[in-house]
Amino acid sequence: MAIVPMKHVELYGLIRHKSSFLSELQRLGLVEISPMAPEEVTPEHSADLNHRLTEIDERLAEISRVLAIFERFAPQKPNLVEQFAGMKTVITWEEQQNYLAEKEKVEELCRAVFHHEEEYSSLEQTRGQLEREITELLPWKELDLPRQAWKGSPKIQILLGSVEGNLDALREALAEEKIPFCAYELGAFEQRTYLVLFLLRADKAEEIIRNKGFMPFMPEIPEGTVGAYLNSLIERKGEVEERLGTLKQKIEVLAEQQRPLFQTFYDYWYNLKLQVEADRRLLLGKDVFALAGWVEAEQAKRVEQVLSTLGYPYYLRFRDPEAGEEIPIALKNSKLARPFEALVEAFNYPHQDEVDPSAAIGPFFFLCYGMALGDAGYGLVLALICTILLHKMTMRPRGKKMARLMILSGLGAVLVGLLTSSIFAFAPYQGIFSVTDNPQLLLIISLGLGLFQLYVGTIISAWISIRQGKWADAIWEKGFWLLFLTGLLLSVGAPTLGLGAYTLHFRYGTVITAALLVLGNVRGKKGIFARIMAIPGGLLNIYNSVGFFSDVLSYSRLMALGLSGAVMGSIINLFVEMTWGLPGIGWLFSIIIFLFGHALNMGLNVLGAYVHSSRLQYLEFFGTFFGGGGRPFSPLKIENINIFLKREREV
Amino acid sequence: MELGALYVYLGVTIAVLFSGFGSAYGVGTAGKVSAGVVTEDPKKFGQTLILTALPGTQGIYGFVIGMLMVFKLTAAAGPIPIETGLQFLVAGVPIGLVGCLSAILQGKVAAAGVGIVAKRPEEASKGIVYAGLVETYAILAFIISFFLLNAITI
Repeated sequence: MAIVPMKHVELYGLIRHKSSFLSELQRLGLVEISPMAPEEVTPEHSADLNHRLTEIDERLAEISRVLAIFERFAPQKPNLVEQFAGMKTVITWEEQQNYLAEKEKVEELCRAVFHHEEEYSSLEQTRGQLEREITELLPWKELDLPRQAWKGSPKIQILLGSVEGNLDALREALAEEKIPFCAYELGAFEQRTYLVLFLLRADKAEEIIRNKGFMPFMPEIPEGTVGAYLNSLIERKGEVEERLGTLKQKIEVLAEQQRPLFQTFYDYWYNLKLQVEADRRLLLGKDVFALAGWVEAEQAKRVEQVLSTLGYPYYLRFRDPEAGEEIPIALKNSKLARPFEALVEAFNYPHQDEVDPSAAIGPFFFLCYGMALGDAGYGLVLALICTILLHKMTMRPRGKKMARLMILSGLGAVLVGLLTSSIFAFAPYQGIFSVTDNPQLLLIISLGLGLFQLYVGTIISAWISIRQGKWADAIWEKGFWLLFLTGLLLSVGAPTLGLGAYTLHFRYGTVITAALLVLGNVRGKKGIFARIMAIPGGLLNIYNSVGFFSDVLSYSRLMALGLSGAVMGSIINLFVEMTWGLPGIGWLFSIIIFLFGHALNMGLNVLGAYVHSSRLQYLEFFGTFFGGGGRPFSPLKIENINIFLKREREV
Repeated sequence: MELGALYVYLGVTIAVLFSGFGSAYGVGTAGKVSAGVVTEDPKKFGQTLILTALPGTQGIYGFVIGMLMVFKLTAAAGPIPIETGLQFLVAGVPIGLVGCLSAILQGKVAAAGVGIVAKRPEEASKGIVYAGLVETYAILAFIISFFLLNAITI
């Protein structure tokens, strides 16, 4: 187990069967196609592919536009989990085939949707214009003087306009100049008074009223009274809104009914695009194409079998990877260790010379998470939620791994919680020890777990050296290193362990292993000078023990997380007990506090435990033996963005 | 009130006040950015929520220390000597100050992590780990505050 062994694969076939081979390989999803060297690219081939790609991209753009319009008019509502995993429409294989048969219908519907949407936006603009016009005319609604009368008579001038505040100043000024006038107030809007002014035509009149803040205004109406025109505008607005309503409804209905169709086609074109992009990696001759890539060694037989059923002439060759060749990495572990692959994949894929650490971090992550969460109640709730999600939700392999990881982690918390007797921070029985009463012990266990894990890491690192045939490195660098660390620990801790009498022996042992470590660094260097120069480096190795013990101390976070969660939980329980005794509906408050408080505490602790447990693996544990840097295996396969085929669920 | 008890009060205040202030600030920083991302894409609420909640833990550590001090004070029989009161005060300082600063800085890292959620949602867990790294120091301070408090005998 661990890193899947790969085989290099070469496939030759006739160019006219190329797409059949490619789509079969894509359906299989087992072969990664390596790109060919740039000097092998034939311009005609790549021009043809570019042409096909543009065509596909146009289709994709069209369908995404339709889907975006659907989303605007009838948005899908993802629940909290779907926000993480993404929303998928679940359809069966038959449904998919039925949809794919309706290619013409899609184009027709595309046009219909675009048509509706364009009409909708232009009507929205019309509505905006109407609204602006209506607000502008609203102050003149009461004016019953028709448009044709506004120019007045030879003697009487008619002015429409507004002044700020009231008309007193205007009236006074006109009266002072003895100009006969008559003013009709139409009402006040936004602190301006709107009016119609009848004036005897006089030279100074207009200037006087302008000085008093009169702003003339001509409502833009074709004929008749403002009120009648306003009514026609409002009526038109009503019509536009009604039409908008019908259009919106039409698009909504289309969205509800046809969304899966468009999603299916989006994925269809998307997968075709993947196929064309894979095509770019092929080597073309006059009549023959060649394909090079990687396949999992176990699956080689199956690939051969499936390709032979196609009935086209071909030549297939497998070989083991050569030394120095870059091999893509896929992880495969036993069922129990598989969820922990999610942690490794989130960090980095192992390099081809390394081992897959999934199985190694498994038990430690389980314990770390258990200690950090530390409550059987919380752990059980977490495991139950994830179990339900796993069975009710449609999830991709990665999501499933994550859900299983959280189930295992939750069970870790159940284990620790039961041992320390903590169920929703209540202690119904006498556990091995109580986290809140004896935090020192919890700290020691945390550090002990850390020490153990880092020892295991160092041993794994030694094992990797041995596997590569570097026995001497394993003994000189890792073996003495472990002895040295153990010596240091025993020298300091002997009295506590009741071995005080041997302290001196331990000290001598430590000094000897330290000397051996320095010697180990000198080993293999040529010439006296180089050997002397290697001594400071060896001394630095000894200094690295500081780093090692600070890594161990980093595990104290497990105690802090477990403790703060437990104390917080018991504070919540204290409030619960306090309100329980209250007369009347005290019990109700009590239950609300219990549910709400523990939900909050659990949420924060689940998050904190995940973050810190994974950090301990990434920084402290991986630091001892794991670097990562492998390239993940990415076979040509069918990738659905929007839909989820029910069949996939069983595979 | 005797001076000893007053010092205990001060210790509680330092632990709760500063760490709470820092957490509020940190959550605020991350929350602002998250809200910006959600206006563009409401589907990212869940992931941004996690990053926004991360700087909130310091406030909880401070609160736990403060609450433990209060329990210890109420359990004490008789007046609190000034020296003991000062011990309480000092015990509150690590989580108060480190909690405050680390929460503010963690908020900034979380806000940057929200950027990862916006552009490459599949890598969001890395942003969460980065923000988690800052918390280490608040945890160390919490442990010290806790053991200082535990060492006080009344």
